[in-house]
Amino acid sequence: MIEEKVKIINSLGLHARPAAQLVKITTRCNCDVFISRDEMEVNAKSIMGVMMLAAEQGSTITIKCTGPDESECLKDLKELIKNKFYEE
Amino acid sequence: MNKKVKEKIIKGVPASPGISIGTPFYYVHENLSVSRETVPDQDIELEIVKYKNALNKTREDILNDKKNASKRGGQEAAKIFDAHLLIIDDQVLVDEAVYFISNHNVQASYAVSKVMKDYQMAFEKLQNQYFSQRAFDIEDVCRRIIKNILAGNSQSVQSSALKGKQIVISDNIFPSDTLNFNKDLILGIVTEYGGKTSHAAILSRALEVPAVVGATGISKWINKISLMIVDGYTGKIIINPKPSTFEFYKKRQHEEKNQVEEDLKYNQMPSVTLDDQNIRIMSNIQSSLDTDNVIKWNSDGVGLFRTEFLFESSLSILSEDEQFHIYDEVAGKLYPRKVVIRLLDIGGDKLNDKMSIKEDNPFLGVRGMRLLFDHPDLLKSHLRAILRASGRNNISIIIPFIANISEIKKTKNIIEKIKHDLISEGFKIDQNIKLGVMIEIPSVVMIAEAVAGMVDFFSIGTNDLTQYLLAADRGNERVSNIYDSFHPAVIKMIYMTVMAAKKKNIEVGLCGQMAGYPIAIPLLLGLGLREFSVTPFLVPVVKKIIRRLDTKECKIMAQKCLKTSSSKSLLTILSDFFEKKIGENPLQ
Repeated sequence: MIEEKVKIINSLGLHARPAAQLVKITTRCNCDVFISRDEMEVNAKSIMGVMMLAAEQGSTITIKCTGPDESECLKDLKELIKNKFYEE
Repeated sequence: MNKKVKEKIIKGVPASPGISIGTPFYYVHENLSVSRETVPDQDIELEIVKYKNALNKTREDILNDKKNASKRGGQEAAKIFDAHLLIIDDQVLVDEAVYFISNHNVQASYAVSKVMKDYQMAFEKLQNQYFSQRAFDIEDVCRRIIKNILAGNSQSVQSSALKGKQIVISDNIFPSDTLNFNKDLILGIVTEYGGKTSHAAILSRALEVPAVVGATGISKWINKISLMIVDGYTGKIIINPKPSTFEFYKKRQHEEKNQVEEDLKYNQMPSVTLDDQNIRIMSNIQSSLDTDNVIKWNSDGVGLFRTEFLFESSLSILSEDEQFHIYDEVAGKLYPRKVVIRLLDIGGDKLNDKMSIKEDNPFLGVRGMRLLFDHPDLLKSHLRAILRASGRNNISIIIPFIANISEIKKTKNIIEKIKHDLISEGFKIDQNIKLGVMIEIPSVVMIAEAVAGMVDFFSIGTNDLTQYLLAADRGNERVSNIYDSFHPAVIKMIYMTVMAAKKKNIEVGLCGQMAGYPIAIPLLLGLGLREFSVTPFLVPVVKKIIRRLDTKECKIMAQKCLKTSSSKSLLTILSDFFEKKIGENPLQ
C-alpha cells in the first residue's frame, strides 16, 4: 500500500467533470484506490464518491492505492491533478 | 375536496411571465420508500438481472431525453442529462446495489432506493452549495431506475394525465418529469421549491407558460383549491379568487392577449423616429433558448447576452467546447443580426458558493472582470469559445465591471494572444472582433474619453451604474427609496458617456432596465442614444414610442432635465413631455 497527500489546484475543485476524469483512471487500474479528505474516505472508483468529498481549490486530499499497479496509478493521478485535469 | 376557502395569496418567485387561470393538477412524485421484502436465495440471480435490465433501460431513457432536449432548445437542458449519465455509469454505485441484493436478500427496487438514499443524504449534508445540490440529480436518477424495475415487474406505475388544460403544481419538477406531461395541456407551473434557475423555471420559459417557483406553502392548500391564478410577472398565486379578483385577472389576461397581437403588428414597421432617425432595438438574453423570442419580436440583434448560465444551469462549469456550441448556435440562428456577448459577470453572491471565498462586501469585491483575472484558465476557455464562434463576423465582446484603464489593456492583451493561438491552430475567427466596455462603475464615466479611445463601443448598464453612483444596494429594500435611476446624477453620467463616445466616434447603447421604461425613452433619445437593449417582448413597446417622437424635441427636453437637481422635478418634465407627445399617461 502506498499513499500520498496531494493539493487540488484547479479553480473549481473536484466538480463533476474532473471527478469523471479521475474515475476514468482509477477504474482502469488494477488496484484499490481510496481518497480521503479530513475524516471522510471514499472509493475513488465512484464518481459520486469522489464528488462527495467536495474538495475545493486549495484543499488537500490523501490518495491511497493498494494492488499490483499501485505506484503507476498514483503517478497517473498526481499527474492529472497537477495538470488541472487538462481542462483549464 | 373543494371545501370552500376564502381567497388566499401566496408569494413565490416569478419564473416565466404571463397570467394563467385554471384548476390545479397536483403532480405527486411516486413514493420511493419501497418496503423491504426478503428474496429467497434461488431468486437472487433473477433480482440482479431485473436490476441490470432496469439500468440499461434507464440509460436509454436518459439518452433519449437528452436527444429530445437538444432538438427542442439548445445544449443547456441536454447538459442536465449528461450529468445523469455519469451517475448511472458509476460502477461503485452499481456494485453496491448488487452487493446489497445478494448479501442481504432484498429485492432490487429496495436495494436501489437504499443505496441512492445513502448517497443523497451524504450530499445534502455538504456545506458547499454546488455539491449539496447534486442530491437532487441523484434522486431523479434513482426514481427512474426504480420505476423501470417496477415496470418490469408489471406493477402499475401511476402515469400522470392532465384532465384538460390545467395548472401543474408540484414540490419540484425533475428533468425526467418532462416526459409525463402532454405539453399542450399545461396552463402554468407552480412549484413549492426552487429558484429562478431551477429546472422548473428553465422548462417553463422554454414552454412559454407562466410559472412561479419557490411558492412556499402551496402544497398545504392543494385540496382546498377550486380555482387558482398564477401571475408570472409578480410571482403571486391567488387561490380561490374573489369574483372581483377573478374579473381583474381575466381582464388582464385578455388585454395581454390583445397586446401581444397588437405588438406583433409592429414587427413589420421600421424603428424610426418622426425625423427619420434610425434607432436600433436589441434584446437582452440569458440562454440559447431565448433566441426564438429575439426573432419572434423582430429585434435588431442581441445587445446583451448574459453568460451566467455557465455556472447556473448545469452540473459543472461548461467546457470550452460546450460553450462554443452554445455561442455558435445563437450566432448562427440570429445571423446576420449582431450578438454582443458579455463576459461572465459573476461574483459576490453567486460564484463564491462554489469557490468558498468569503468577502465582507461582495458587490465591491471580486466580481466581473476582476474574478476572471483571478481565474485565468476559466477566462481563457471562455474567450476561446467565444472567439471560435465568431467566424460569421456577427459576435462582439463586452467586458463587465471595469474601473480603470489597465483592466482594459490587460483584457485586450489576453484576447490578442488567444486570437493568435486560435489562428495558428487553424480556426476561422473574426480577427477584428469588436470589443466594448460596460459602463457601470462611475470612475470610467469620468475618464470616458480616454476609455473610448481604447475600445469599439460602450454599453451603459443603468442598474449597476445607479447602485454604484448612489451607494445603494439594489437588492436592499431598506435603501430602495435612495436607489433611483432617475436621479439627475445618473442622467448626467449617461450624457457624459454618450458625449465621449460621439467625440471618439464609437457606438454607444444602453442595456439596463431603464431602456424598458416607456417614460425614459424620450429622455434617452434626447441625450443622444440611438441603441437600446431590452427584454425581447418589450421590443415592440419601445418601437411604438420611438415612432411617435422627434429627436430634436427630445434633445431640448433632455437639456432641461440635465439642469434639474432632483428626480422629482426631472420626472415632472418627463411625464409632461410624454403625455403631450405620446398622449398616454406614462405612469399608468
